[in-house]
Amino acid sequence: MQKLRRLQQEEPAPAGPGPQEPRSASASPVTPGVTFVWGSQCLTLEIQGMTVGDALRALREPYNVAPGVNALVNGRLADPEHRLSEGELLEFIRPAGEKGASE
Amino acid sequence: MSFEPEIRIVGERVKVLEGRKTLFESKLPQVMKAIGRVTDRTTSSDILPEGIRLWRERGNAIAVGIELRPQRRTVRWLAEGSGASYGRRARYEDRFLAFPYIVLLIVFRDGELCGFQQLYYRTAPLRSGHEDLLLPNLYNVAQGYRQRCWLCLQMLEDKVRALPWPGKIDAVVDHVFSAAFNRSSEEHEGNSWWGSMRGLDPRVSSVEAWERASRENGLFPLEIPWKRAGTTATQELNHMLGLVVALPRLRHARDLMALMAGAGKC
Repeated sequence: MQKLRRLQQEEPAPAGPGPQEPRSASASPVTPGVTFVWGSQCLTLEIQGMTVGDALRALREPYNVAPGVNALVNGRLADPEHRLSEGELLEFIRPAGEKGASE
Repeated sequence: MSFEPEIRIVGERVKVLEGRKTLFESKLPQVMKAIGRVTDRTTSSDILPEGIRLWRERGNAIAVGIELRPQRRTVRWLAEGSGASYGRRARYEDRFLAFPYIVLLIVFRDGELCGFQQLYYRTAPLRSGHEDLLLPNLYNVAQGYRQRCWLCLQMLEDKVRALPWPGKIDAVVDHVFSAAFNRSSEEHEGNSWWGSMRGLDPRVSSVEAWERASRENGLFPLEIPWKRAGTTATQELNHMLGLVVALPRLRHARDLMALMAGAGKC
């Protein structure tokens, strides 16, 4: 998370109300935060208030998010400008193969 | 002069002697267990990967139990009316589905998947490994290969050996959710737990109903009366590990002698 905070500080602040600093929700169990899903990861982060695009930039390096992922909020494709709210679920998905035997 | 005990192994018994006098005797397996309890055991990974709840090493095999907390995910699911059950001609749809606790039991041999891998559900976290596991409702999880809930990871074969342990676990978990679910097990194993469990509850009677229920309440899978699998994580890991590496028998002095000979003499 320290790395995440550092990354966040290095990101240029967008105009208007800036994104809040992402923090692990475990530091404050009362705050539900935003559920973040990527690959094997599923965790709650305090990234509410950030836009989807900001979150992707902040999370890309610490969680090794692949380039070209689609961002979904609550299972639906999300606009990068969508501002995340508490209780929302942010997923990054990429086209992957299928299960089962090859033909 | 200080007491110098002599320990003698005779067949299945270990004797502690002082001179000609036998002080006490124990059974060899009990002695081996006692030695095991006071011996440092190393793991092949200094840092256990996230989600690992159980870890067992035997010979060249490592069995792990991974617990994934309840979560909602967008997964790719075989579309109704898909032209093929799996493969290039299969058509998939994105589905936003809620899952209960998922327990993955995987055996790696020489760092690679070896066909012994299972997926179960739970409605509460594991506390000891001895709690009942529940049967899942997923495509690509089937009865087969001497496993109750064999998980198809065929596309990962020969792909995880070179990865560090966190990478191996990531690859498996990612594959469970990211690789599309299809009817491959219906074709190859003759069954899947999706097919068997659709009558369990109206909320999981179809993928549409499952998605609807998932959007209404992400924790609804914890309320479903999933069927008991009649086994535990510990039992299954032992069973799977036993199919990969036989536990060396240590019941007789000859067994210990063979072990010592294999380890090298000084």
